[in-house]
Amino acid sequence: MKRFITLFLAIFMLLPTFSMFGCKQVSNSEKVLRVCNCEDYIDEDLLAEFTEETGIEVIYSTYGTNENLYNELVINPNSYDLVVPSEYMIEKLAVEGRIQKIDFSKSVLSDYKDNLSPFIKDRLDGILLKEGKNQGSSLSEFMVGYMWGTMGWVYNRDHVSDSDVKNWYSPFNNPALKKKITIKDAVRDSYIVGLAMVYENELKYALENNLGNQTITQILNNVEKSAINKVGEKLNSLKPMLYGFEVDSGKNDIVLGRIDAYVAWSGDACYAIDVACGEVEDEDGEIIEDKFLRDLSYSVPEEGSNIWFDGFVMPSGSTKHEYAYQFLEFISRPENVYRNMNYTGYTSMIANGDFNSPIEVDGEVYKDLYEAVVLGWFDESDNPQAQEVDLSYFFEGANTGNYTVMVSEEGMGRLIAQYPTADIVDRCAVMSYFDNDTLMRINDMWESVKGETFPTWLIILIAVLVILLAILVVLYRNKDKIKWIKLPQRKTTRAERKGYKVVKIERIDF
Amino acid sequence: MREQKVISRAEYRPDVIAKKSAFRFSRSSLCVPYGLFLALFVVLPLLLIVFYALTDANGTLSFENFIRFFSSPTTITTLIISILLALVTTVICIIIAYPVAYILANSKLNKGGTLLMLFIMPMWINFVLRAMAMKDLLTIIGVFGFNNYLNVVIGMVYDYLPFMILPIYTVLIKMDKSYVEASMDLGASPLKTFTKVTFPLSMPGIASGITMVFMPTMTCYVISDTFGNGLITIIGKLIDEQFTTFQNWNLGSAMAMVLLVIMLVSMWVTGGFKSEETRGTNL
Repeated sequence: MKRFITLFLAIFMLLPTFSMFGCKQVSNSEKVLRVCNCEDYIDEDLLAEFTEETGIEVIYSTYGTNENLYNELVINPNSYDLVVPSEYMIEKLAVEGRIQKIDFSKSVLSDYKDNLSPFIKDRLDGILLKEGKNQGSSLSEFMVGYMWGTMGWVYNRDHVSDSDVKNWYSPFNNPALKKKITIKDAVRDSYIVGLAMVYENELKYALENNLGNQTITQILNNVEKSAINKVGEKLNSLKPMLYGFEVDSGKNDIVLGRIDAYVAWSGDACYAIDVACGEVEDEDGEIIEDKFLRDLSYSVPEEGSNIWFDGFVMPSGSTKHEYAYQFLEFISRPENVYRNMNYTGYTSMIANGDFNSPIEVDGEVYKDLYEAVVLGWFDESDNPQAQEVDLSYFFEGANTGNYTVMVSEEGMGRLIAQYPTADIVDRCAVMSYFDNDTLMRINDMWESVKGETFPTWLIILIAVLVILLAILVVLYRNKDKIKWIKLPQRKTTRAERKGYKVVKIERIDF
Repeated sequence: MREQKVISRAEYRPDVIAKKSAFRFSRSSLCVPYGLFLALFVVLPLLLIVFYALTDANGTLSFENFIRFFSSPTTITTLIISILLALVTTVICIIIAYPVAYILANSKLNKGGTLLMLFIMPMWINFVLRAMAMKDLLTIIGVFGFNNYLNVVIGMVYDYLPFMILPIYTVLIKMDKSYVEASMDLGASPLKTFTKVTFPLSMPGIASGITMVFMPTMTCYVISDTFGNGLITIIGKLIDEQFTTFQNWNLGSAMAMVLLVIMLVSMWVTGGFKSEETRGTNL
């Protein structure tokens, strides 16, 4: 019996070995599409609906960071059919030839092309690959746009005034915010914040003189040695004011009141502001709970910031093009876009709802996305203090129309977290990927920011102590073998010292 | 003269040889799956780490990674801080765990290991979850936030305490009580019995507890990130960043190898106490 149990256990242990060979190897004939996305970045009900509609099974998996995804694609280029990296990673993948171009002449993608925001299209067209075999191609040839956003301060309006977050550095000037600020524990995001602080004057000059987005992009992509050193010094000088570095705990920390300002991605900003305002909706959109926690807002500093675009790309090993295009068409339908936006809180790159396919939400029919999202979520025209905000830069494409919305001062932060205004996106720059040499240099900078550095004499002292200790341990271990070590030995026993007479008995025979 | 012909065993009894070469399931065959497992998931990755550590980005042999590691004051400082944090955690764990294990091993309430289970039960919950809950709890109590190093040590001790209690408890409960009785009979005080008999006999448990606490605390950056708010970097975090953010697998592997050497040294230091007695005390 015992033998059988052992055998069973042995087979059980072998299972992972077998499944390792079996994983992710999908034959071409199967109607299967492998999609890898960020966590919580899609309304997963849509996947089931897609399968129902087309009969294509979706194997959905998630990744942690762009870099992890990159590692997976390097190891196995055929591990997925569609993945969703950020624009800098798409650029890197395209330069290294690890992804394929999307065939936009396919008729399934024509709706996507019509519905994509003209602003996004311009920006993506403007990102040209500087090296590699795809040199000269633009980023938009490789990706089908998904979500986009900016980076800025989320702040608690009870403790932080609007002027405190006008610049990247200004919260650090307010002594009341000591240990109440967090920045990103991600080197790219903190680097661009550091650059904006170091080159504050240059950025302001560029803005005042209308030097254009190109100049700002250039400044915010500076990776010269001197710039990296300056950024390192700047970030180090922030540390006494920081509550900490974070990547995903910040949105909860600010809602709970542990911090008063934090560097946030716009989608997280939407989440934090919504949670803090305490309104909990049921399935029908009725407010069932209203526990106001904190008055949070979002602001993109005046010097400019980072703008990011996430999109679907096809890894070079994938052969399931037709299925992939069907999926992309499905996910870009305005109705599904609305559901994804509602679910994730991020902003889609799809702007103009196709007028022929109105969006139905909770029984109400909207003409397009602008009506459903912007007017549906933000319109405050009954508020006398509301002011008009123009979003036509994003929505105006083939269908010209009035794309403005009335928003009060309180609602403004939430709106620009979802849809930044034209002047904000004008001062936001895409950050290119770091090449390997730059990464090395930035690595050293980041290590010195994140870690402590003892003075050299202390390190040498500790090293000497450790070596001495090691020698002592070795000697002690081998004290019996080495003759010249003689540990002091007492000549008398304790009993003798106490005055007893000690009799040595050689041997007792019973 | 009679001709002598040496015939081989195969010629003599071909059936026997044939039978011998055929596969026969024996007890040692049960080791094959584990052997495969070891080769695939332990030996091969280790070899890969050594390969990456000793090469540069182009795959040529170089010690550049080690030079870089030992010439940067920041990485050395991180290493020192990690070792110090791990040392402090281990010492505090011993100080707390020993009395607990002692009481558990001698308590009448612990019939059937119920009390022990209560102590071990937190291990059944995911440690990231526990760390986050503990952080919130500390914030409510008001302990959190004085000093990030203190926070990290609290978090590490909280998470690794069961790993120290269990081996000590196992050794203590297995210990032959007649040693203690003999010591008492010969007139030793309870304190002396403890210091001269019980404590030395429980040394193997402490040693395996140290190996189970010291090394993981040096690399468990989830806890240092959660409790230190990202302001405290330990060596495990550096390795992670090399493999993910900075895409420098070679430097990351070199760091892992340095850790490996430290681990071997720490095993060697604590391993001096090891004997047959330690068998089965590890988790």
